[in-house]
Amino acid sequence: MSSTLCCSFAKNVTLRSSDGQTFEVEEAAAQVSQTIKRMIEDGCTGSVIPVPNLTGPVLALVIEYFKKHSPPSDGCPTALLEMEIKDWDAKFVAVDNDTLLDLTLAAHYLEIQGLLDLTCHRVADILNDNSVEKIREIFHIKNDFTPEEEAEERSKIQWAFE
Amino acid sequence: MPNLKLDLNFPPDVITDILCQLPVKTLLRFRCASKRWCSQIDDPDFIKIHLSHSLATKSKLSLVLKKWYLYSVELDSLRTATELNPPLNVIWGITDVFGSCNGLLAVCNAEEEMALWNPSTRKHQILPVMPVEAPKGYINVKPRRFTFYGFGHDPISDDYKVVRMVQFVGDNGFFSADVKVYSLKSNSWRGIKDIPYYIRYLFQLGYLLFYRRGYAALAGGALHWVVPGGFGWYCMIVAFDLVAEEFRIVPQPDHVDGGFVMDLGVLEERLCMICNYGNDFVDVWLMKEYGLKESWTKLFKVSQSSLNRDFGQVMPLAYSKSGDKDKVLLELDKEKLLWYDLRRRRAKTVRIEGAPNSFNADVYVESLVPLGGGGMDGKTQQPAPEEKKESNRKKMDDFLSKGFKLTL
Repeated sequence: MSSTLCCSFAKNVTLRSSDGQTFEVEEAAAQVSQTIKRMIEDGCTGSVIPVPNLTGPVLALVIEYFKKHSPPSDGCPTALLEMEIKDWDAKFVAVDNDTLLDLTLAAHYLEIQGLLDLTCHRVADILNDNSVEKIREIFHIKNDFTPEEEAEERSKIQWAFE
Repeated sequence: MPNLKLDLNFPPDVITDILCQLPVKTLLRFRCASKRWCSQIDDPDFIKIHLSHSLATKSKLSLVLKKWYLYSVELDSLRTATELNPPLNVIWGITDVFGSCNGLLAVCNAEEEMALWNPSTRKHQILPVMPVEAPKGYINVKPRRFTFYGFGHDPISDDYKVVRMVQFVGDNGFFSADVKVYSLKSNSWRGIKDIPYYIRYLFQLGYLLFYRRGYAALAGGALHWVVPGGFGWYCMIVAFDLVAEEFRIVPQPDHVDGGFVMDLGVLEERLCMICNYGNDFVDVWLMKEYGLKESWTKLFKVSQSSLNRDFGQVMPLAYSKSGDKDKVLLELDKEKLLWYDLRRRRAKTVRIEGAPNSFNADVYVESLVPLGGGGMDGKTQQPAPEEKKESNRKKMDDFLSKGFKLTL
């Protein structure tokens, strides 16, 4: 960390997605990801950091998140700033369901706790607001129950469907 | 990222993180989405993770409101109360809740008619009838009788236990107590023989109206009752350890001004001591680290002037979720709820749609903790019609004797 403090300009790192797109981002911002932070600490900064689990479009989104959530250069975040970030977060995950799941997995692979909490919360909200049939459809869940088995499961807790 | 499905390919940890946020009713519905989801939601480890997530984040908390009937209201909103349908049938008298732990409520109609009940999954387990052993050879004068109840979790054997202590007190100094412990795992009762001397000071006539009606306060894996103060002695706190299954005295803080009437409560699963100074004001103490005398901390004081009304009893139930514990939910005189702003020292009455005019409240957390045998597949146990009839007659007797005791 001390090396970044003594430099007069921000240090950048380059991230490469699974489909070969590269992105340049400030080192401090990329360290919002614990996985990338470890790689930087292990001395990966000189070369390009591969992010094989993420496609270009998803990595681009994650980098947006990095930028918004990088620690402020002038000390503590203010309450106003925190509120602004909260608003921004809500808009950030108001995406189509496939992108939401992409972001959830990206947060998991890159160990971005804040983003993981945010996306899991959003997925949970969607689950809570929709029927079982609808959820199977939007999250591509294969129903492997036989019709009889499903009817039996449902009959046990009929009240939960009311 | 190929195969993007919220199913088999998704990392199990992430699925768990998502499911932990969901209320029990939604989870029960999503058991029907696929076999993977069904087995995940029924998994005992998941049930524990879901519960500890709810407790840690103070989410999915509700109040059970007790009057002639039982109602439930979400603690976050305190908006609308819905009537609950307790498992014990009642023709005469009421079903009362005497304990709450990990989403399970312990309910009773009478000393020998009790059940454990998960209102979120609507599963229950009727406790086997355990007759009260009355003292023998005491025919001339009938001793007064009072029953103490408690319910909690034994973290070592991961078992849920109910304690029933029936005391018989005669005017001539006669005393005897019948203490029985029920274990959910074995679905059976066992007697406790080793009853220390101070247990005999527990019962005083006020117990039916004060001291939580003899329903124990659960904290730190133990059940707690007040030993009321008397001529020349101070109030004490007696505990029944659910792991060791034995009684002990809980240390109280030093330097507490005397002259108060003590009550016990539970705040965020920790033991609270409520010191009532002549109904003028109460001091609320919290034992931050269970069993450690030095950890008793005075949390706040509530006075008649700050509440702007008279009171007899004050019981803290929960802190507000938003803000930094700046508001506390108080139950006043077992009748109504107030949000008390600790900084501004101002109180606001809570009005809940559909709730009775006055009620007594307990906090419970929504959980999937199973009852009636393993998992959700366990059949709910309903007593046979014959049994019900019999138990209702018994209940009438008990209710009448309760009423009789009240007039003593």
